[in-house]
Order: sequence, then C-alpha cells, then structure tokens
Amino acid sequence: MPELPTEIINKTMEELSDSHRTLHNCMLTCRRFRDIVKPIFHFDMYIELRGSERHVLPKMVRLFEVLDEVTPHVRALFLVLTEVDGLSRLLADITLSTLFTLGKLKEIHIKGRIERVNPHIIIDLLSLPSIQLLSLDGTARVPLSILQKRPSIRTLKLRNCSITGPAPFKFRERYSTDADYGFDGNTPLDENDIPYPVSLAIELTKRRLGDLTLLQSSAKFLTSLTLVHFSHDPKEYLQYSHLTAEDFPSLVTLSIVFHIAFSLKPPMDVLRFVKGRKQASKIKHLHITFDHETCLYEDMMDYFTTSIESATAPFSIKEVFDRKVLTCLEGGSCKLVMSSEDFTEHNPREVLPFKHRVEKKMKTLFPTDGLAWVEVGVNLEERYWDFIDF
Amino acid sequence: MVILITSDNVKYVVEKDVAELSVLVKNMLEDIGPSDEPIPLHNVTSTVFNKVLEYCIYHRNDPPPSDDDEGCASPLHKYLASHICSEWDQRFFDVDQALLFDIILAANYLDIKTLLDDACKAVAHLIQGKSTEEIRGIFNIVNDFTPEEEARVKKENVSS
Repeated sequence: MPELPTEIINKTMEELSDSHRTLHNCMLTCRRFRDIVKPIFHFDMYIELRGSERHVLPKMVRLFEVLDEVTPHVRALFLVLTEVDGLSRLLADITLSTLFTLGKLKEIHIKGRIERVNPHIIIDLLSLPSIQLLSLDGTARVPLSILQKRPSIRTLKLRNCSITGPAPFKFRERYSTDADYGFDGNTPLDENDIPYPVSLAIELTKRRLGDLTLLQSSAKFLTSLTLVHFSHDPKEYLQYSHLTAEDFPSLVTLSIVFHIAFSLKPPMDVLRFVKGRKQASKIKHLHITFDHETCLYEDMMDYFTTSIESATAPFSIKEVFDRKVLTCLEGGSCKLVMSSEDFTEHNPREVLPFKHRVEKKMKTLFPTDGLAWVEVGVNLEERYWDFIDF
Repeated sequence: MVILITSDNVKYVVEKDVAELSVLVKNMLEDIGPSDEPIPLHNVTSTVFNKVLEYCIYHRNDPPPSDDDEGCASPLHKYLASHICSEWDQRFFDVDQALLFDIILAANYLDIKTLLDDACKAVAHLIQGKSTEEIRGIFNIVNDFTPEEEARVKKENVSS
C-alpha cells in the first residue's frame, strides 16, 4: 500500500471535520497522524455552560486538564451561556483568558448572556484584532465599542441582541439587531465609527425599526442584499414598498427568501422592487429561495408529497425574470431548500431518488425555456435546531 | 492530440482538452510549444492512468474548480458535495484501496484538482466511523505511541 504524503492526509482529514469521533480515532493511530489531525480536531472549541453544575463540571475539568494541548489550535469558539455558576464558571474564565492571551481566534459565536461568565474577559475576547467573524445570539449589554473601528471583521451576525452605547444612542433605532452584516474593509466608517456594510441579510418585520434606517443609510454601499420573509401577511412587515433597486446604486445581487409553510405564494412584489421607477437597476443576479424547515427527514418527505408535489406555481420563471427591464441580469435562480435535523442519518441511496423527485417537480413549476441563465435548484440540507430559551 | 507515455512505457494519444485537465501536462505543453513530442509521465503506471483518463474524459466539460466556491460553501453544502456525488463518481471510486491510493498519488502528481478532491472525499468516506485499529489497517500504520502519549491523546477528546 503506498504511503500518502502529509498534505494529502491533511486534505482527507479536513473532509472529516464534522466527524469528531472519526477524527479522534485517527489521532490515536500514530504520532504522525496525531500531529496532522490535531489542528483540525481542535479548530472549533465548544463550551456549553448550561444544565446543572453536575452535568457541566466533568467536561470543564477534562478540558482544563489538556488546556495547553488544545487552546493553541482553537480558531473558532462557540460559547453557550446560561445558568451554570461555581467551579465551572471559574474554569471557563481561565479557558477564555488563555484563548485571549494566545490571540489566535478568528471566530466567536456566543449564545446567551455574557455576564454568565466574567464579562470583562468576553469583551476582551470580542476585541481581539484577529477576529473576523462575530456571532451574537440573545446577548445583552454588549458595548458598542466592540463594533467600532474594527477593519478586520468581515462578518457580523446579530440575533436578538442589545448593544449599548453612550446615552441617548440606541442601537436598535439605527441598526438591525437581527441581521447578518458583511464588510469588505474598504467602506468608510459611519457616524458611530462602524463601517458601512457591503452585504446585508435582513428580515424586515415591524418590531425592528432600526432595520429600515440601516437599509437606507447603507444603501449606496450595498452590493448584496437578502430580504428574508417569514410571514405571508403583508401587515407583518415594515412599509418598504417605496424602496426599489434604484435606491441601491451598487447592488449586484438581490436575494429574496421566503420561509414557506403551506404556500409557495410570495408576499412581496419582486418585480416592482427590481424594476425601479424610471431606469433599469444594476442588479446582475436575482435569487429567489423558498426555504422549508422540518425537524425530521420523514416530515420533509411528507410535506413534499402532500403540499408541493400537487402545487401549481403562483408565478413562472418567465414572469419573474423575462422582462425587458431585466435583460441586464447575468444570473438568476429559483431554489427550494428543504432541511431537517436528521438528514445525514439517512443513506444517500435513499436520499438521491427523493432529491430527483423534488428536482423534477421544481423544474415543472419553474420552466426555464429560453432563459438559460436562470438556475432552478433544490437543496436538501441538514440544519440543526437549538431550542435554547434565554 | 497529445501523446503521453506512462512509466511502464505505454503510449496514449489523448485529446488536448482532456490532457489539459492536468495542470502538469498543460504547463509542459506550454513549455514545449507546438510539437508531436511525447510527454513522459514518470510517476504514473498505465493501470492507474487508465482510471485517470476515464475520469478526465467523463469530466472534461465540467466548469473549472473555483477556490471561492470552497471558501464560502456552508457545512451543509460540503456535506452534500462530499456525500451525494453522482452515481458515476460513486462507481468510479468503488475500487480496491491500493488503486484508490494510487489514483490519489497520480492526481497529485498530475495536478488534477477535482480528481484529487474527489478521491480524498472517497478516502474520507472509507474511514468515516471506523475504529482506530481499522484506520491503522487502512493506512498500514504501526502504532508508535508510548502508553503515556496514547493516554494523553485520549484525554484530548474533551467532548466525549
């Protein structure tokens, strides 16, 4: 049997980055494999301070015993912070301090309230110049300073967060507290020393007043905009019908996502948005996605059989894309995404025929005759749900 | 057409677009310019090259691989890409393990990125869920750990 070079073993192991157990078994084979696999195995660190101390403490103690071996390789930190206190909290503080001292983290994902551990340590970590991705979910009282003058940050994901600044500043009146922001490091800083985003994924619901302000203030810098719709009721949304693609002079890609439950009918006038009032937009790519989530793969199949397989489309691809005003488009897609949390447990031999059935139906619903640049696709995915109530 | 000669002196006449899926061959063709001179493939036997050629012919019209795609692909997308490859690819890589490793080495030498990527996925699939002892068997590994080192590595699986 030929011996494979180190870079090929490394490439193969990277394919297994989601298979923790297999990676660990590989690390246990010999010294050479241990050294190759170690940075991949420890790339992500998960610290979950939830549940009882009795449940959490043994894991924290085990981590503490090998802290020197593990922390130099960690680049992405996932922190879940709820109720745990006592020794677990102390060990978490030491672990986080070590990561801060090493200064190599590229990503931080936090779910929960930062005061569950030492908040000063968390704020130090969030301020590391190496950080490129910040994800905060249900996180309260994060100081505005962590977002100011941070040219290294490329992605900011906020979910139900509160960011605090000096009074009378209110973050949620100026920015979205539920959005994905993308930065390219080249846009100027706004009046609060936060760079203008070049991409935004945003859900324009009524309760989030800052969304519209953010959208309008960033309009001239945005090259990519994703509008996410969870409801079919127009009353659920902020009034943004006055906005059209003309308001976004740099916009190249517009993506519209409908989280569907029982209907394929979109609640917004896509064409009007893209057409503009007087002149054609500069949008080159228009992507429309119907995103359906279920918890079980069986439910996904059941939903397809009962709802989609018998459905007729509310509009055809031609109605969406084939207008003179859109002749500048270079790409477009109409996609159905169906996801469940137990998807990978199913054999590809079982999944493939189902995928082909869904693809066939989508192509019937959205024919692309004469519109070769429009892609009609289906993605069957695994998506994890985390029902943590903060 | 391009003439290629494997390490066991077997001659292949291959269409240029197929041969140029190998960056090594493409660069050599650019270096020698228009010529009928055969190109030697020192590190590839005909048995392995037959498989490489079969792959290149089947995938000759695929879009070129993009590094950007790799960078922005979600874990879910990666899962689909690595687990639900085409039935043809599944059949193609359904070979004995020694040949699979030889295909990897040939793809690496010939610099055919997509074949190398797909073959590494096939090996990853092969070892997925296997025990340490089974993985040692697949890669012909001799355990060189001291008991203390092995115990240390075991401890590093802190999430178990």
